[in-house]
Formats: sequence, structure tokens, C-alpha cells
Amino acid sequence: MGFLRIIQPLSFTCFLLYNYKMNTGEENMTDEQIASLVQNGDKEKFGLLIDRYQSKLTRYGRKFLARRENIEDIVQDVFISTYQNIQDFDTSLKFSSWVYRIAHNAFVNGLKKQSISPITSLDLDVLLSYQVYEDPDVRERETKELKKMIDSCLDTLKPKYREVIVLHYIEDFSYKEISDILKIPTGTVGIRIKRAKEELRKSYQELEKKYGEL
Amino acid sequence: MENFETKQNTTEKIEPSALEKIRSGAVIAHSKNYFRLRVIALILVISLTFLVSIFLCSLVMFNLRVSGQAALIGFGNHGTLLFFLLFPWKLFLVNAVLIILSGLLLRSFRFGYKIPVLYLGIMFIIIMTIVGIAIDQVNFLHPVLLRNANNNSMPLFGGVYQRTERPPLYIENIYRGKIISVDTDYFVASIENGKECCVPPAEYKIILPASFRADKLKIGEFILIEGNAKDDTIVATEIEAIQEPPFFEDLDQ
Repeated sequence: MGFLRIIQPLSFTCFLLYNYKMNTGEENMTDEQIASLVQNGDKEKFGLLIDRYQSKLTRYGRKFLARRENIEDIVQDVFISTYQNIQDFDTSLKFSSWVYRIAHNAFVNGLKKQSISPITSLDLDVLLSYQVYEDPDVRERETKELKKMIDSCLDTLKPKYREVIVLHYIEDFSYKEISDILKIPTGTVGIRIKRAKEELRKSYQELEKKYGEL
Repeated sequence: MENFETKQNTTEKIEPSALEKIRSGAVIAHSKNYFRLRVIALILVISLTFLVSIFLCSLVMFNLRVSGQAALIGFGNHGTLLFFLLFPWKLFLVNAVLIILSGLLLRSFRFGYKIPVLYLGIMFIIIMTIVGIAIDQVNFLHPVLLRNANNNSMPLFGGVYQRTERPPLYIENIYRGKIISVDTDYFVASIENGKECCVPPAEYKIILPASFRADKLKIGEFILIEGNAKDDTIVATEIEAIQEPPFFEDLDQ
């Protein structure tokens, strides 16, 4: 019995230590924790952030710019810019919103180079306030409903509508997070998503009329 | 939440290229101080823009008040039209540009882009107008600057200040004066319309408009008159009280 009295607390301590080690492993670290390490001079950890965001940002760029060429180059510039500005990142905020903000700027510059319907920083819909309500159940239902439309008609949307659809329904960001990425009021995000869905439905109906049921 | 496109492994790995540049020192991170300085510079620029904007707003108020131009609105349609024609539009436009610039700069901060642009602009205009009116009412800053302008020791805003003495006085049929005596259907005023005036500085007999009561007038009060001058008489169509214009050359002295 005396032996058990000593062993039990010891094994519990070992269990706690093991769990602590597991939780502080690279895989379990949050983006913000990794960013904090990079801020403190651990350059190698930046590779983890690249691993986590490379595919996501490439996908975001392809959908947003509606093209495939040069996306990798732009994404590489995004990572370089992210590293250069890493000390500007506030680790109490979400790293994903911050890195997507940098990517957004890079892709908007990409649009300017393409010279096709560039996004203006001051759009009319940022003038007023709009009441919006975000319901996760509605989003899940809509995601299924919109899947076909997004797959076939996303390219027909204006970039400002295309971007909010990509960020909300593909990259899974909330209105509030999109507001931080695009630096526009949350109500404007809601109204852009609403208008983008209307445009998508219209484009989809036109396609259906042209080619029959898709 | 279901994603439409799962993680793609088909993309080329970027890591070696970007990370190699970082490892080799070809790409370096900006220091914390760099960003601190940038924020400080941004705050300074916004504050400066805001202060200049408030100054210009109070200057517009001062301009309208001391020139007597604000009283033109009381002269009916003709007066209102004159008011808008003589309004210091250049100052107003410079101020509008500064407000837009401040709004754009504020969008660098989180609270700046969370508030819709129109509300941010209205907030700016309200604060600016209230502070501008307060500065004008204290009546210290602008009179001092006006004195400097008249001594030609102020190159930047000198012209703007000197202009406050003239309008709307160079416009024909608008006269500025000080009441000397009041009778039942007329009063006597010393008219001083500035250097570019249509009538010489002198005492004039002002015939009151038919509906105007003489007991409204007080001796020593400053007034703006709309009317037709002939010899030493002005037949007034409109009369409005104004504040004492700076550097009014009193003919009695």
C-alpha cells in the first residue's frame, strides 16, 4: 500500500508532463504561438507557417484572381512580406486573418496588373451601415446549396463579390474575420455576400437556360 | 463546415525558396521599433491633419462673421445668393480634402474601418464644427493673426485674413456701417466699405424700409445695409445687425 501511495502521484505527474509535452509539440502549437516564436528570432519556425498556409493561400489566389498562372509567385511574395512584417502582428489576434490580409493586398495588386475590374479601396457600400445576422446553420445549408453555383459561376462575379464568397464559403471565415481581412465594416461584408449570392443565382439560372440542367 | 476544395498537394512547395531567402538573410524582418515609429508617424499626420482642419473650419466661421457675410442670409434670395457666391469655397474645399485624407488614414486602425465611412465623416465634421465655432467665439487666435496679416508679417494665410475685411463690401449695393443717430424713418450711419468701395467713407442718411421699425436700431451698433446710394443718402431695402468688424475706421475719430 505504501508503495502505491508513492507511485500514484508520481505516475500522475508523469502523465501531466507527457500531456504538456504533447501539447507543446509543433503540431499542436497554434499559429499565434508559432508567430510569437518567429518574432523572438526562431526563423526556422516560419517554415511551419508556410506549410500551414501555402495550399490555402494558393487556393484563395486561384479562386480570387480566377487564373492559375503566377499564383505561386504571388504567394511566395506574400510569405516574404509576412516574414518582413511579422513584428507588426499582434499575437492576441488571429494569425489567419492577418496573413489573409497580406494575401488580399497582394492579389488586389495582381488584379491591377491584370487591369480587369480592379477593387477600389473606397467602394460605395462602405459608406453606410447595414444590419446583418450570421447564422452558422444557414451558412451550412447555403454552402451545400451554393456548391454547384460556385463551381460553375464564380468566375462571372465581380472581384469584390468573388472574394467574399471565397473567404466565407470556401476559406470558412466569419463575417467579422472577413471584415478584418478586407478592412471594411462587418455590415458591408454581409451586404456584399448577399449581393454576391444573388449574382451567383442569376448567373447559374442563365447557364441552366443555355445548357439545360447542370 | 465542408470545404469545396480539399488541401491541394499538387502545388509546388514554396517553403525552400521563401525560407531559404529568410535563412540566408536576403529577407530580413523589420524591427518592432520600425512599426512603432510608423504608428507614431501616422498618429502625428492624422493629428496634424485634424488640427489644420479645425483651424480652417474656425477660419471659415471667422471669415463669415467678421465680414458680415453671414448676415447676407437675412437679405432674402438675393442675399442668400450673394452669401453662396462670396462663401470661401477654396478654404472649404481644402478642408473637405483634409477630412477625406484623415478618414483614409484612420482606416489604418481597426476602429477606423469598422465604422462606415459616412458615419466617420459626419463624426469628423461635427467635432470639427463644434471646436471650430468654439475657437471663433473665444475670439483670440484669429484677431491676432488678422493683425499680423495686415502688418504683412504672415505670408501663408495673410491674403485669406485680409479678405475678411472686404467681402461683401465690394459688392455694389451692400454697405457696412456704424449707427450714429436714429430717427423715426431714417438713421445716420458712418459707412466704411473698405478700400475697394463704391462710395467714399462718410456719414450717410439711411432711409428705412417701409416695414422696418426704427426702435430695433441702437446707436453704436454695426449694421449691414442693402440699398441704393445717391449722394449722401441710401434707400435701404434690407438691414441686418453685425458684430463689430475688425479695423473698422470710425469716422468720428
